[in-house]
Amino acid sequence: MKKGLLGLLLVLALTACGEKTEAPNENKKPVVKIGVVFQLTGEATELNNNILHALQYTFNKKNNSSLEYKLITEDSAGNPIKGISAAKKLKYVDDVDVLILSMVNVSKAVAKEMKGQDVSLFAIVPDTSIANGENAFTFYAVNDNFIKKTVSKLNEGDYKNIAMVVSNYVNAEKYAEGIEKNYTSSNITKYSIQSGVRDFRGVIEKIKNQNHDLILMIVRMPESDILMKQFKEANVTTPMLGVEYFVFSNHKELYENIPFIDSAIGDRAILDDIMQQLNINNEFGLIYAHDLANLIITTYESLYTKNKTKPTNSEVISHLHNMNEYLGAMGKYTVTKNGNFGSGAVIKKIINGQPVVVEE
Amino acid sequence: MLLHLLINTLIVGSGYGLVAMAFRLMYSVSPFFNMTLGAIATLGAYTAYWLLNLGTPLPVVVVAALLMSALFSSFLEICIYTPMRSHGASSMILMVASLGVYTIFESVIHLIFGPQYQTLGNINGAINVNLGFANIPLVQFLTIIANVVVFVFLNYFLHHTFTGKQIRAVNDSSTLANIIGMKNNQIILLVSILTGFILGLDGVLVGYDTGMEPTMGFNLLFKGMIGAIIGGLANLRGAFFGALFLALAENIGVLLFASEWRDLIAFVIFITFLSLRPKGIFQKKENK
Repeated sequence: MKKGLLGLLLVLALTACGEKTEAPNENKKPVVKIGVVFQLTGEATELNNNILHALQYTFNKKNNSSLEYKLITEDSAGNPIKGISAAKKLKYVDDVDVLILSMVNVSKAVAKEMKGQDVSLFAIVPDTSIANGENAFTFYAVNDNFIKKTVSKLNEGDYKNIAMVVSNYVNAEKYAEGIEKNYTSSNITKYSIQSGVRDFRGVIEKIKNQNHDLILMIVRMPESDILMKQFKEANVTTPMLGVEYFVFSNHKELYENIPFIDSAIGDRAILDDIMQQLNINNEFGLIYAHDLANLIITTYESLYTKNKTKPTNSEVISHLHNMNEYLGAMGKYTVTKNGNFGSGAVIKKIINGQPVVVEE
Repeated sequence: MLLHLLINTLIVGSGYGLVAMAFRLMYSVSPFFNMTLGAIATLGAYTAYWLLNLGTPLPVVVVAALLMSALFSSFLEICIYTPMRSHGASSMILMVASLGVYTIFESVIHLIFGPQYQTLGNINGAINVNLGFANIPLVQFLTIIANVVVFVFLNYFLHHTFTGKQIRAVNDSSTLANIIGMKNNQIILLVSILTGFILGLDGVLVGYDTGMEPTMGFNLLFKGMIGAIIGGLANLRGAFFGALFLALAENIGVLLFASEWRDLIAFVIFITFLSLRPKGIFQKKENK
């Protein structure tokens, strides 16, 4: 009796575990899964979260699309090893079609690890070496355009003796190298700023004693804020030119009226809509998120319309590599053979605490 | 250039000096490398930051920040280090425990205030003091004054008051002090309160001068500790002058080479002194 009862219970349990079959739904859209590996804890969390929300907002806002876009998020914590684990989980467990990454170190590691895999990878970073001509793309303002703009601005002035103050950070160093290579009209003295140092008085004294006629600031936060504060304390009045890092400052009053090279602001209406809907104050990266989401959507939609089926990852990758340019809310993106989608650079100034384009 | 080098040395050395003296004072009665000293300075800075954001008048802010640091220091002493010592914990175990506490503290500050760099006061509006031969920001001038005042006060306190002599007795031999009926734990608690005040003051001054972030404590402690070791842990003047020596060496290095050499120079000096003159510049004369 007991055995019979046990047997019956076992059969019932096995039946319950059987695969559910749904009635076929002809109206169900094919799903494009997008894995996002961002730094959601630690430094730069706020910026990463803002970009993530902008991505989600743009994907959700897409109406009348033939495909459904589903975002799955993982936290890299800014750590390349965690980033690789997260990317692998998204690809091999969640079976994502696209990976979107942030942070240069994480993107580099993931792009290397996932090279040749059946997934397209977008890194919203300025390091163009991450794009590998295969499945990895970068989507940001490219250093090359920034360097061209900086050199053009330097050529306008009649500078004899430039102080170039540079953070010991990969992207800043590359930027500085690009300027030294492309601008040979006057003497450039490089002063390296170490991350974590908080006292720059010695460096400032050296700069003062060299009688430079321009200080070119390629310094990350928070060292840039501290440096600017100490420049003012030392009564340094040498003209300055900066780069995009100024917009990350929580103390923009330090940079009032100092020109700097940055990416264009983009379509103000779209930016304002995103900021208002998501209740975000910092506009950094939002337009890139919007444009990248739209690039993915338009790519998948156009291929779906052509083939009447969800495109394969290799079709998507091939399509992207065939593009020469892309028009987004940020303006025209140039597309290189390696797969760098790069927006242009403009000159801005901080005026009344806000970045304003002063020269296209 | 030389004048500015000396002024910078005085400013930076004074910042290191406050931490060096606090480190030396605490080490004299509780001889282990206490990582939470950095956290105590950080707490002073962030207490000031929080209160200033609430619109609290500056004198109240400073007093509150110092009190908070002193309370935190005594809390750690009562709840963590004294019980551990009474259970026979070695210096290594105490150091590891202090590292754990520091890590927890840094994470809590990070969670509450965020990771961003912050400053006390108006970052764009430094008030300068005209010394005749140079103009320096008021906060840096106050740092130099604070360093000297703390040094003079501690010297007087340790050598001319009964409690100070008790502290020196515990420093010389805690076992003997215990035997003759001194309450070592009370002495250590008093020293931890005093250390808290000094570090809280340093935190506030650093917050105004170079700003703050959750990780600031370790850098402050590291430089102060090196200054104290270079000068010699045997006496207070070692910490005071050791910190100035470290600042001078760093500034010369930056002048001659580049700012990236600053920490390298500090390490090289540290290792050199540990290897060749571990008792520091001002070695205590030993009675033979």
